This record gives sequence, C-alpha cells and structure tokens, in this order.
Amino acid sequence: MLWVFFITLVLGESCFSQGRAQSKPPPQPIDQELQLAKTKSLYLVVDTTKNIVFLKARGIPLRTFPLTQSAWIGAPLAHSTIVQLNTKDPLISPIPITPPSDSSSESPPEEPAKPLTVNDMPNHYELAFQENLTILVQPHHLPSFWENMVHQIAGWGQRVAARIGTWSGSRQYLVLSLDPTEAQALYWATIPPMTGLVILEKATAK
Amino acid sequence: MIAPIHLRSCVPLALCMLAILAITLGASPVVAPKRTTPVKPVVEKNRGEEIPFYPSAPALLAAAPKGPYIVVDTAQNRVYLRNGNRTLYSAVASTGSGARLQDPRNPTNGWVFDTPRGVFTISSKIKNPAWNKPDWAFIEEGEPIPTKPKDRIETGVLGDYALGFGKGYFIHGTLYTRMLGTNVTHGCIRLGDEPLEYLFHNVPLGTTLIIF
Repeated sequence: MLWVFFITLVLGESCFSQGRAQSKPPPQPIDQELQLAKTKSLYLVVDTTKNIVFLKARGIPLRTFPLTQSAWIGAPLAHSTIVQLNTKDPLISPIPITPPSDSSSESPPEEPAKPLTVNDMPNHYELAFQENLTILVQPHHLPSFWENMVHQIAGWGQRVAARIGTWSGSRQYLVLSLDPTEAQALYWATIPPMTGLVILEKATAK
Repeated sequence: MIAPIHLRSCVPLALCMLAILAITLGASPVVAPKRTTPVKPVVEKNRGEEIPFYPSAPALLAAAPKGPYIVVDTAQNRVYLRNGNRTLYSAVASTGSGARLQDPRNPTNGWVFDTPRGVFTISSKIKNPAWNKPDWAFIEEGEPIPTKPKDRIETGVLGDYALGFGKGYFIHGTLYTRMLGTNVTHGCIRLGDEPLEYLFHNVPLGTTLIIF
C-alpha cells in the first residue's frame, strides 16, 4: 500500500515537472510583430540584434534609425516583448498662435508662429513604457567639444540614476546611442501611446 | 636633334585635341544665363527606388497594403507613392505646424495643428474643391465667425484637386508653393500642382495612406 502511494507520488511529481518543462515558450518576434502590423497604428521595433530602431506600419518599414550602441542597465528583458509608450521626457509643447486683436486696424500683421520642426526636437530624452521599461536615448557624439562634454556627463549621471533605479528591481533600462539628428528624428516619430516591440535575442547586460 | 622638332610640331595638334575634348565634354565657351531665383523642384526623381528592410516574411507581407499606397513623412515634408517595396513617385509637401490656437470663446477649448499620424484610407476625391472654413480659420485671422454657412465657403485656395482621408483632413493644393517643404499647415497635406494632379489620377479611392 505504501509502495503504491510512493509510486503515485513519484509519477505525479515527474508528470508535473514535465508539464513545467513544456510550459508555453515565449512568443516569436515575428508573431508579436504581426500582432502590431494588423492594427492601424504606427509602431516601433527596437531590434537590438541588428542595432536598428524601425518605425513601421502594416509591417512596412517607414523610417530606420541606426544605433551606434545599445546596452541594458541591469538585467535585460527576459524575451522579446510588446510595450506601450506612456510618456516622453522632456515633452515639447506646441507653440501658441496669437491671433491679431483687430483685423480692421492699420497695425502691421504679427509674425506667424514659428512651426515646430524636427530640428527643434531634443536628442537626449527618456521614453517611459507601461511595462516598467525606460529607454534612454542619448546622442552618440555632438560636434561641439563642450556640448559633447556636458552631454556625456549628463549621460553618465542618467545611467547612474538608472542603475540605482534597477536596485529595487521594478524598472528596466535600455540605453540607445544614436547620431544626434537620428535621435531628434526618433523623438519626432514617437507619439504616446504608440506600441513597440523590443527584440533582444543577443542583448548584453552592461 | 630630331626629338625637339617633333615635340614642337605636336603642340598645335595637342591643343586642337584638347579643344575637341573640351567641347565634347560640354565645356562650351558660351556662358549660360544665371537663374535669378532658385526653383525648388516639387517632384523628385527617385522612381523605382527600393525600400530597404522591406519585409520578406510571408506573414508580414500579408499585412502590407495591396497595390499602390501613399506614405507621408511629416518630419521631412515628403509624400511618396509606393507599390510593394518600390517608390514610384515622390514630391515635396507641407504638413502640420504643430502650433496651438486657443478658442477665445472657451479658454479650455483649442486646436493643435498637427497632421494626424497612422494608417488611413483615401475616402474621397474632389475636383475644384472649395474650402468650408472652420471656426479656427476666422479666429486665427482675428475675424468674426460668420453666422451664414455660405460665408464660410472660399474657392480657389485648395488647388485643382483634393483627396480626403477623414475627419476633414485632405491632401490638396496650395497658393503658397514657396512654403512647400516646411511644416506650415493646419493639419492637411499640401502639394504642388503637378504632384497633386499625378496623385489624383493615379490613386484610386480606398488607397492606403500612411502618415508618420
């Protein structure tokens, strides 16, 4: 009787552990992207294996942003993940238009509001996603020596703060370094609450 | 002694050959008149250019638009007509300024003049469109908002054609062609006369429009 009980226990445990071993594998990036490509929205694909960020819609690449470097601060994501952009920091506010007070007056017309262009966008910023992921975008280099120095120091400070942030284990950080103009274009291209896919088969922890 | 004589006789021949070469290569002595004003091309010659990183996976290809589709780049102010992985046509455009106008009648209300981004469909095609001016157009100009609908209609400002893609947004022409290539519109997409005509005649209703 005891033997029967023991065998049942052992068989039951082995079946249970087999079940755990055969648990659902992580979804393939292509399947995840297909999920995004079926929508009517633009989406980002941060491909750390190719070191490229893609802006896409319906599976078609619209714009590519080549990365000079990508690195995780702390542990990377466990597998390729779909994320949703929550906020951008800093946020560029639209420029207000001041309508003329009286169109019948003889005063000269006011200068039209200067439009926002991609050149007005920052090249050093944070993209915070709902899934406890923050992407820190930094310019790889800047033409001016002093500006470059300030940006490098700010970048180090940001990475140290991110490293401290990972100690609680609640947030993961991915640092992307780009050419400054590419970083500005990426800022322009990202609009909350757009979705993104982070592909990281060969990601390295820093 | 013989060599110097040969060299001297070769000089005129060499000069003649140089002159023929120069004329052949186009170094004409006639100086072309200089343009006083630069002409900005509105149509770009990148026809047939292949789109890099176009998907090869059948599953993703199934999600891609079938037939020609329009792509608008709001950062560079460019419009592209593509088919599959090829660019058929591209032109300089103008897109939203991103500026904000507050409604003086209700300070909590206002308008942000952005070109919407995402995937849309060409839902209407209009010849000789007239502009039904919305409230913001009068507020921006500091004019009183008319009470009669007919006072809102303005003709001849949207070019010869308009392609609608929903919620009052259109691809249309402009009187301000020198502003093409800049972010100046209230959200619509402006094109020069030639590319507008090309799109109107080559894009059927239901064509996919992707704005980024």
